[in-house]
Amino acid sequence: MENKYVKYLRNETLPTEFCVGCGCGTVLNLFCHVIDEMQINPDDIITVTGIGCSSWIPSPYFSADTLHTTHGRAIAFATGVKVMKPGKHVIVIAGDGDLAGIGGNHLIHAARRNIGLTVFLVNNYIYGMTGGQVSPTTPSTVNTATTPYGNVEQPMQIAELVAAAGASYVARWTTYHVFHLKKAMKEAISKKGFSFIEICSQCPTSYGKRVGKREGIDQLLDFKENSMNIQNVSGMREDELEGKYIVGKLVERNRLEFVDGLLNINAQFAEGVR
Amino acid sequence: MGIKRKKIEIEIDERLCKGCDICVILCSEKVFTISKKINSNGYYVPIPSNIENCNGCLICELICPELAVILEKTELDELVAL
Repeated sequence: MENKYVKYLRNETLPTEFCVGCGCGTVLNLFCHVIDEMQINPDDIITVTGIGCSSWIPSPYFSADTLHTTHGRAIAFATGVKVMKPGKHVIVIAGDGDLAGIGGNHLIHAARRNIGLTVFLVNNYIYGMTGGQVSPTTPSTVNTATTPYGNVEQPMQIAELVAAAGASYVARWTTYHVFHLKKAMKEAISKKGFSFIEICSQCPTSYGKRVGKREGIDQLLDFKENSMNIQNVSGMREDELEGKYIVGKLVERNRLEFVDGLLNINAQFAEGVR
Repeated sequence: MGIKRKKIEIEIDERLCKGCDICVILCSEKVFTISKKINSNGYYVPIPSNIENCNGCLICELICPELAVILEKTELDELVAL
């Protein structure tokens, strides 16, 4: 018997190349469930991705039209795709080093423009594929390959940044919260405007071994024990929230979408010419 | 009045499973056990040995990083009294 969701994958690439217990596989699994339950035809999806472990979720595994782009530029490519094909679901799945580190500027300005992309940022807190270099989200207590004597940088809170930049939908969940994450993915795909989910994921190979959690399940149990819903954290001090994962929906609002505004202007000028 | 009894079948795809044991540890009803049998890739595939305890919460199917857990629910005609 074969899993009925395998039909959404490129079968010749299976089993996946992800490490044992990697969270990217869970995101792939949930994405297949969401597409199946929303009854979206994979032909109407264009996935765009950059470089990194989580960029392997759409390319090569998820079987839809895929752009595997240069490092950090996934959102720049996706902006072009969305403007030319506004009727398609343009979905960006990439990692924290790709979207927040190297492509940070593209992320902020896509959120500011409120262009109708769906972005799933798989945050594993490190550059996992290249051997564990420090990323913009690495907690300051963790020693990495490039900060072996201690990390003096403070981590970036990407979901809060994107919410402040003006996105329509922003949420943060972990790979342990599969039911919440599945619901949030559905909301993000159906929401008009820039929708963003930060998915805190486990990386047993590059991150887990540096924090004493060598198996995927150890980090999942950490997510389970140290997650707090965003509704319960108001009024708490910063030192109380140290090491906690604040999950939940940060923002949902209605703003003018970029492509709609662009088409409105085009329509005005087309009338003027006549 | 009553609800329909559900029959639950669980299977693990031996081609895809990598033996990370996430399903074994996260299952609240202890449905899976770690097996001593290895698959063709050299991983220890869990066995769904206590299927009768399963409450059909689906966490194993949703969290499996390899899409290897297949859980099928079929509704039976008999009703369970509430």
